[in-house]
Amino acid sequence: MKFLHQFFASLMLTLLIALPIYAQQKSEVEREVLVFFNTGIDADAQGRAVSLSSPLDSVLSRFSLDSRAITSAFPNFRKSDTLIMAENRRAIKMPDMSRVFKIKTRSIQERDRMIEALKKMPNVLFAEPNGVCAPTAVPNDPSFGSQWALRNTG
Amino acid sequence: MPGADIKATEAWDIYTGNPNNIIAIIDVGVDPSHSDLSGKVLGDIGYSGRHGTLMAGVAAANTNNGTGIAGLDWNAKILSKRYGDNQATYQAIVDAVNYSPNVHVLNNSYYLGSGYSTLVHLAAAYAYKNNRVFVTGMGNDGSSQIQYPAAFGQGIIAVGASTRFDALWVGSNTGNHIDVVASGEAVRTTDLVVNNSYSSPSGTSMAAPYVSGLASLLKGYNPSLANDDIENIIKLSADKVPAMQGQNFNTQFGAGRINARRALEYLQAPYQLYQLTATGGTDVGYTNAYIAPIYAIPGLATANYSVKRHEVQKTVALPSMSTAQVWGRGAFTNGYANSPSFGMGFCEPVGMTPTTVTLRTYCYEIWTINGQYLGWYPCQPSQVQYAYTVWGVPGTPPPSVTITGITEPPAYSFNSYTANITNGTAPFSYNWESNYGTGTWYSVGNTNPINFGGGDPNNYWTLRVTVTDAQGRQAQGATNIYFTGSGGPYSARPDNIDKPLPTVFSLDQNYPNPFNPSTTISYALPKEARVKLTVFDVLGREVETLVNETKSAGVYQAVFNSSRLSSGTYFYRLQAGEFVQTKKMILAK
Repeated sequence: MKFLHQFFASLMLTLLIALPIYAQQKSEVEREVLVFFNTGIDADAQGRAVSLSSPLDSVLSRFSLDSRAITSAFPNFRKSDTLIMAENRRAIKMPDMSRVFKIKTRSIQERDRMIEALKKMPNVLFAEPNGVCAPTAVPNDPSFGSQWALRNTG
Repeated sequence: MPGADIKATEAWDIYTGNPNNIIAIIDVGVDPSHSDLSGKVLGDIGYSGRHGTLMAGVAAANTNNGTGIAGLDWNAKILSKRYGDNQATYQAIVDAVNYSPNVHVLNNSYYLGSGYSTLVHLAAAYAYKNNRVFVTGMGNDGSSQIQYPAAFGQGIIAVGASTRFDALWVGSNTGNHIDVVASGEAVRTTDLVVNNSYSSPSGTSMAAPYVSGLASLLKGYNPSLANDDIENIIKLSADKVPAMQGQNFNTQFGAGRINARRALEYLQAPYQLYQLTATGGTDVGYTNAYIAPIYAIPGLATANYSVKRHEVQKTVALPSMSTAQVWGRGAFTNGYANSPSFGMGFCEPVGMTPTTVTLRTYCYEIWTINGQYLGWYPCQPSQVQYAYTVWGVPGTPPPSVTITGITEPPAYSFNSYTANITNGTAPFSYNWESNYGTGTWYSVGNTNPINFGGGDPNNYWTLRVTVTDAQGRQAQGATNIYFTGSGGPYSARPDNIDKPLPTVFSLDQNYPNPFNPSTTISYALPKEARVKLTVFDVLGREVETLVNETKSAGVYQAVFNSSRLSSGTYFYRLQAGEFVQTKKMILAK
């Protein structure tokens, strides 16, 4: 299995070198925290964080950050959409996504410390690293020509 | 290798898909100009990503168009929604669900780079509650590395990749959360024009859209199926590959390699799928209060709460089935899962007999963090609603058997032991055996008595019967026969032990007759009945009621003791359901 890990690691490396813009975006995203504040913060029409509680202010200042580091993660979310009637005629509640915010930090280490600090606040329901989705396929020889999976005749 | 495929061509003999149905491809975009995809791509068509184009071809490429490849669902449309960071992926899933009620299946051939995410889990839960099928790959590390969304749990079909030899593809991740495998090695599919329009990549990514295509076929074939029905039919119909060595599940292959033909057959006669509901239940236990975030329970603002989880169970009768499988339909159940956080409905079977199933769900008592009592969610246990599905072949349930007969026989006695069979299909065959603690079973019959030579009153024999019904289904029952007197030797000769279930009601002449002071009255019931056995004197006055209860089918004996009565003629009358018969007996002191 070790060989396999090396193989995939080198594959990822190739992808990262081939896609420097993707890599840059990825490293930026990975320094972000996604956090659900029940109370203690609001967003204005532009998605900027306003009305921060003093405990939140003090957490940010501990990291030498201020409200400019926080933005609404779902600025277009409409609170009126939180209750829908599904096909199965049951009421389904959508979480109030206007309470989810994104905090930009400067490093992975700072991100992790920020998450720990936020998790200790009583009005935080979750605080987690942002991340980038990655596909789960390995391209191989495109000339390999059969759809054996559908009907395998040997 | 013949046989190691997913039986698509055989499936297409039954059904090829509904053009109104839509498979959402949550990915990097799909090429709408590809000839095998033309006219069927909806959604974010401004982006033609390679990986999404690979997915779309496997699930639903245009088929019988004279070119290229065949998608598993020939007719379904493709909705392209683009993932990105966790926030974008949340939005892509929710937007796919909200796009149309015809988006029944979401294909998610990706993993979250930052590991578990509550945010993306909320989106997957939203899809589940909306009765959508959420399919994802196990991941390609070739290890037991846990990836998400594959490991989110309820409502996720996690797919591993198999090879053309029904082995595990080398990169396919393993774990308890795997549901099935599908072909994932060198899968020929649609690609971008720069890659000659077709290629044959590998990965659990490639396996997942086979399951998405199959889920879409099943939903098209039977639009009333719930997402849990589709997941369970796909698992039940999967081929157990040789590497599973006869197990029904392992962490490499889950329930096995999907079989599209059999999955469709399982929705046809002789199989029946009953979508049932039940209400109420017993509070069988609860937790201490604990703090939980609740995001999505109607009537509760998203916040942390103090909750007590109550486990609620209800036992319900099964329809008459020869091979019943039962699962819950959470999207139609109002009781919640064992975590209240996502507001997911949940129902699961926890125990089955041939004729009943016990269902489980959870109700919560909820307080604010400050201790204010808010009440029961979704309701008190007595009102909770379960939705469950029973699938199988209609018919009698498999047999079960118990033995009746005297368990402390007198020395040298002749005793009748009867196998009482419930369910099963007649005629039955019987194999009686006994064992006196040596572990060796000896055949027993009318001419083979159980002999016991010692005087130890604690010793006993075990008498057991193995019953085989007309369909070859077996059941076993046993009883212990104790020799409680001192001294010996003892012999309990089982009499009539091979007698099958009676076919008519009957009342036998008492034995002995005349008698003093006691006599035995035998009667037979071909089916369950309310039984009353009464003794009268010659003037028609009731002397004693010997039996007054409901009894199952079988042969029974009642002993009448006359020690306080005077000599003369008496009558005994059996009432069993509609059957009434009276016989005469003589007490001679």
